[in-house]
Amino acid sequence: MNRILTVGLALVVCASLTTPVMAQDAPELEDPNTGRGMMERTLLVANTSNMPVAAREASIYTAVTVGEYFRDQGMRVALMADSTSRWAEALREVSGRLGELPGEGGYPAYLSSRQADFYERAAHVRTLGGELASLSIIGAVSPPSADFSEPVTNHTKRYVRCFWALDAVRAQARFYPAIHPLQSYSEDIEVLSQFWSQHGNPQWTEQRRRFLGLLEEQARLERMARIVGKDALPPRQQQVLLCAELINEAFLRQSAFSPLDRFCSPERQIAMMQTLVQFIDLCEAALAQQVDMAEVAALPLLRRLRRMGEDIGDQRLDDFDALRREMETAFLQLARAGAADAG
Amino acid sequence: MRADVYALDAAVRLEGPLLFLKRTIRCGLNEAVEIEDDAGRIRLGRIAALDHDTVTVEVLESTAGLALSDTRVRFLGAPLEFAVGPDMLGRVFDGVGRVIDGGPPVSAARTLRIDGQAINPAARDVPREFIETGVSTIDLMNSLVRGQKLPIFSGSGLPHDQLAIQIAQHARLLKAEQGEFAIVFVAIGVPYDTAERFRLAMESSGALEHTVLFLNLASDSSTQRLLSPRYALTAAEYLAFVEGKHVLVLMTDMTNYCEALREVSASHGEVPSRKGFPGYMYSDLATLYERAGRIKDVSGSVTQVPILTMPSDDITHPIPDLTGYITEGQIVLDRELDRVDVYPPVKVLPSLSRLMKDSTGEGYTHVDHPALANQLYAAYARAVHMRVLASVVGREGLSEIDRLFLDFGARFEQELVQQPAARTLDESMEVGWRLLRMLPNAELHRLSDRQIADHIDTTGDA
Repeated sequence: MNRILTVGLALVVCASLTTPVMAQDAPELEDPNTGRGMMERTLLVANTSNMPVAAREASIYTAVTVGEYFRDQGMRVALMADSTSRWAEALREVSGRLGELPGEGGYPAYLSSRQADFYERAAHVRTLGGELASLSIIGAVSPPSADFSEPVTNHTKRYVRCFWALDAVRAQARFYPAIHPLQSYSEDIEVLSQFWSQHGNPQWTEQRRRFLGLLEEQARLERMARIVGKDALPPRQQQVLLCAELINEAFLRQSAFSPLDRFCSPERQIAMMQTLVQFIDLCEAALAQQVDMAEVAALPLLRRLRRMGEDIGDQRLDDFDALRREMETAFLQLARAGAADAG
Repeated sequence: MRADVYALDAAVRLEGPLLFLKRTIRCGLNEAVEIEDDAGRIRLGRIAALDHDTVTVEVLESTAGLALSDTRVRFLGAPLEFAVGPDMLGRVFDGVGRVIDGGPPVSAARTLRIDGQAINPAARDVPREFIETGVSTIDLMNSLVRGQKLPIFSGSGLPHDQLAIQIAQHARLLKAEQGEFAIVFVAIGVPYDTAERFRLAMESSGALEHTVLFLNLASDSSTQRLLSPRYALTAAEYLAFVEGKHVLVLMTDMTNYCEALREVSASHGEVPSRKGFPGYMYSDLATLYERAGRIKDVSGSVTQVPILTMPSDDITHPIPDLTGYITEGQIVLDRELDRVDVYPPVKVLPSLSRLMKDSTGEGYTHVDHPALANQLYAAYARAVHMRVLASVVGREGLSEIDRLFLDFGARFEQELVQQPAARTLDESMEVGWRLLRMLPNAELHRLSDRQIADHIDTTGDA
């Protein structure tokens, strides 16, 4: 339930096991916090797939060692390994050449312990100099044919605390980032809730739960709508579908093409989240007053809500308040019109 | 003068394409050899494995008629090389770089190793220039970029060759400083008629004079099949990085290449991995695909369009799967669209070009190109979703807007995917805007107000 966020990183170490072009992207990125080149605090370890296979196996260790070196100097380091599947592929290839007995999926039996060795090197430490420093590891796993039950994905999930599942259906509709909110999880919600409190949103945990609840119900209703048809659903369920769709389109979807929306500060995330929570509240109130959900869905305001990420930048957070006031007025008018009809 | 190093009567065993020799001469892995039989016929070979006592030679032609005695193996002391020169354009070669069009040999400007050398990632330049192919689903939705590797995932019986020919004939750069285009076509284990069709098509459109053809036919040996893309890519690299041309390499069919890899690996007695393919197939394919690209301060580029037929249309098969790992996207062809005579039958949703974001939009193509592609993707994905719903509850069970999307999906396939002739990017974009006009503006979330005002509301009709 987090829009992707980078906080106060001193440095990014990248082990890029991918095709060269992906590696080329990094030098041109701009750091949203400072406006300077991302490459100024980045180190790339590149091993393209036509380079020797043993070097591919080693590159991940090279990167994590460099990461630890910077960590020991008191920096907060994020290491992005793209992708550990290709690293495992190299492990399999070398193991095959050594004539070792293959385990599950042809990978060597020690695959999981090697992965554990790697992920366990992530840590939050106090250095000898007394500073707080950390090394965080983000591993990209690219399972063959998006099959999350294969060994590399499975073992990875055993050792990590947070999992972002990219969803093929979302990706095909060019929904970015294609993180599936229901398949993904984080075990650090309680810690993060403190973070959000400090940034001015003490209700974050409940709001997150509410959003997830709506998305969960949407998934269930979509299955049901397949059988009975969407029009046959009662107003309460239509309201759930409308709100869930709005959470997806307005909050979870981010436009990487838009200079305003490719990065989202915590403050803006909070404003967006609260705007949506208010919409859901108003929607439920309207439902109680028996306003037709089709009328709510036809509000011209919805288009602006869906595009608020792209249209309202970090500099103009006040616009969210304006949007919320307009929302209230619009719902008030709906309710009045409904009452007039009834009268 | 060069010393003639050879081994006579060293052969101990001959098995399929493999010749086993006693190790009597110092030689290195991957070096080239010539095998001369008692009649004086020379076959080309390559050292595939070495151990304490034996040398395993992969013979790159049929070994029929080869005997153990009186067989002379000449060690060339260097890896396989290919003599390349500017005269290659317009010529036809076999899978190991020998002229087969009856013309004179090519005068060599350079001799290059066919394995090429990995490009230093730091020396690579980001591919940015948009290539117009004339196919809307590629230009508009999944743009091809100079220096990219974009495979076509097809199935047997689908018109992938026709599509490849069309791309080869129409490919051009949008900007004026076009530079010279060259095409390298390599047929890997294809039937004669496919190779001939391509040659005729290039000849009739007058494109043959900037095309180099490499033909490894289905009847040629599978060891040779492993080398033909390497010879072709060596030629492409020469044309691009020495002659400064923009080279489009079409490789059909990579499935045959992988089958040959499996066959040769099995004859080496290697431990097979997924579906019997060798465990190093990923690395092996990478040595081919990674030879696409652009280099800083060098004007030419190598763009690859490998074509592969997915065995029984299975996209999870190791061949498309590993290819997709390495390449920058894919164009997927669809049997259902082909059955209803939509040409080109590009299945839009799983198709993808990873480099599109860097090469479209302001300064590259049209400023609203990315937003249009995004909106079309979103709307078509919804249409396909509605189609699933409608197949259960029927059209009547859908809301009015959902029915509109259903119609949009049908028209999208008939008017944008289907195209009788090549379109320019502007024409493709116009079709895209026209289709979006049938949807209510409130549903077009991926377009900004300005884009709607500029393109959707201009004519006013729905």
